[in-house]
Amino acid sequence: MNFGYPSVNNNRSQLRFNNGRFCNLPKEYSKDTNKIILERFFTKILSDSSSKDVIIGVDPLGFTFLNLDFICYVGLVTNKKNRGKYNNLSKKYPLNKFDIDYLKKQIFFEYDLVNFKEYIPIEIVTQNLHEIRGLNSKIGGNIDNIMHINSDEEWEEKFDNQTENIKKIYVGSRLIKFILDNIKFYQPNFFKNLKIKYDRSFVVHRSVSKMIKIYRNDFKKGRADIEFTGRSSSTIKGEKEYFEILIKILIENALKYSEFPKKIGPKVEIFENKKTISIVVKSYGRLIPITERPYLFSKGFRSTVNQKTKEGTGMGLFNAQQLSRHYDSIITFECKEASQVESIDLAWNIFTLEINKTMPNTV
Amino acid sequence: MKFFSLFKSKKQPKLAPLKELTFDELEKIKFQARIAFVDDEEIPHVNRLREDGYNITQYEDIENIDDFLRKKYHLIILDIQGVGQNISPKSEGWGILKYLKKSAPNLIVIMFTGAEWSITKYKDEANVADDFIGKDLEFLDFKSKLDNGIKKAFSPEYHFEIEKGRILKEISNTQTVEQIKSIVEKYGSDKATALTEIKKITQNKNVIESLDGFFSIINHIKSLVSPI
Repeated sequence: MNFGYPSVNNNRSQLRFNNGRFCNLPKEYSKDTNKIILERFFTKILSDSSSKDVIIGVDPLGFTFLNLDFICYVGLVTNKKNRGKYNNLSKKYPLNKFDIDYLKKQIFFEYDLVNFKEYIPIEIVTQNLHEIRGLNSKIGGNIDNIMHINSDEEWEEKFDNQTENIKKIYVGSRLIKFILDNIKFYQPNFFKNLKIKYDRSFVVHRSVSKMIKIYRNDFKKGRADIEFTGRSSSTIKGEKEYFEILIKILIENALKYSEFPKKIGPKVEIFENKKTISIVVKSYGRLIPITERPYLFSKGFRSTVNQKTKEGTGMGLFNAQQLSRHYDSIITFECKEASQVESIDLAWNIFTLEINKTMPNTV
Repeated sequence: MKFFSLFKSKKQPKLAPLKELTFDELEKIKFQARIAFVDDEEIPHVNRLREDGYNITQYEDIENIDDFLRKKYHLIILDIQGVGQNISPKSEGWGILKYLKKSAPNLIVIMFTGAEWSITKYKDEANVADDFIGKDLEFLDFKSKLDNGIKKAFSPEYHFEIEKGRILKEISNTQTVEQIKSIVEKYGSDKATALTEIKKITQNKNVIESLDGFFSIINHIKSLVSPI
């Protein structure tokens, strides 16, 4: 790759000097008499390089060099003082003359570019996400108008009575929303700053049932059937939007890690007593090793049994646990092994969300 | 006889306690709430809310914010991006929110957003918003948030909390503030009596003026529930 400015790179132990896109190497670099001295000098520079800082110095010919990890700009004339006898270089190479701070900024920019860090400017990403959410709201809004559901009570029945096409458009719109919601959890201190309003309440059972209906109608081929049993009529305080995201994470997780989804699908159960409402989400999949279980809800943790076969960020269960705290609830995990035979590594992985009914209004 | 009259208690004014609206009262008047929706795009939910009876006026942008305030809306749903280009080009909707809440703190402002990262960036401004509605929220959740906003707009307690903030800037004695609060709770539904009682404990002109405004809001809410 040609960088913006002349550079040197170490290709298979062979140093190579390259012209830049904005200016060329000074003639001194191609003279045989300078070859050995330059090679010796830059071999040392490149072998000493670190990715954290830009090293700036003057080479044996009096030109400035800048080195950041594998990028080494060479043959430049800068405003660096004390150049002594080489001061005439700025007259000889006016096209190679640059401000040192500018070059420093450029080398970081090119480094990030090569590492794809700045490949898509973040402003474009956020702007596009905003546009997508806006457009998705139009799809969701219009499909809401077609479904014409007037209350939470009638949601389930009215949804069931829709045509398959309408259900699919609705589900598609909700799944897009979930993806966009997921992105916002990456904001620094999102959960700490999250303010849920507790001046409203919702029926837990309805929210769980709704999420199951969405995933029963998703677009996966060979989709697993989600079994839903139990009953609860209690309400809890808070905004149901984030609660539904929490349930969505648990269901999505169960679907993703089901080993034989067509044969043994996830099971969701809801029940309550005087003090608590429990939602149990089970999936039949790989046995999570005992040593890994304490870290399941840690940020970025991925179990070794699924790491290679399933893609993921290790953020789902962390996010779910963070959200659960806003509803005075906690998610616990247990594992019921399918067999005592050591060679069989399958198990029912069970996540239980236990919600305190007499929840206080703050986190 | 004279002896008894010494101990005769002073005649207390008739109680007129201030009450939050009941669910039925709110249902009765929620369609009278004047709602402004500021967004430069077509919002499918708005049409349906109008069909349901909500009194919503949609604006593409706010050209003159003071003119807009004079229209005395109860509630504003305000988009963040693409609005306020003339008034606050850098901070867009956030700049409008700041101005609205400073000029008319009793006005309910709900931010309509699809750009959550903006909330983090404008954290201080976001804190003064009454609520947030995500752009892709379902109709029922959207309506529920709107109803909550209307409830707040017609809540004496909400408006008194704003007055309390103003009073505390004028009167440092918290005991006096508590006495004012107690009078408001007991006689708040009768503006004349409440003001007479308050004047017995403070003559602070700004406080009286501020509470006069508060009682006018209460009278307005009352008039919606029981039109004369």
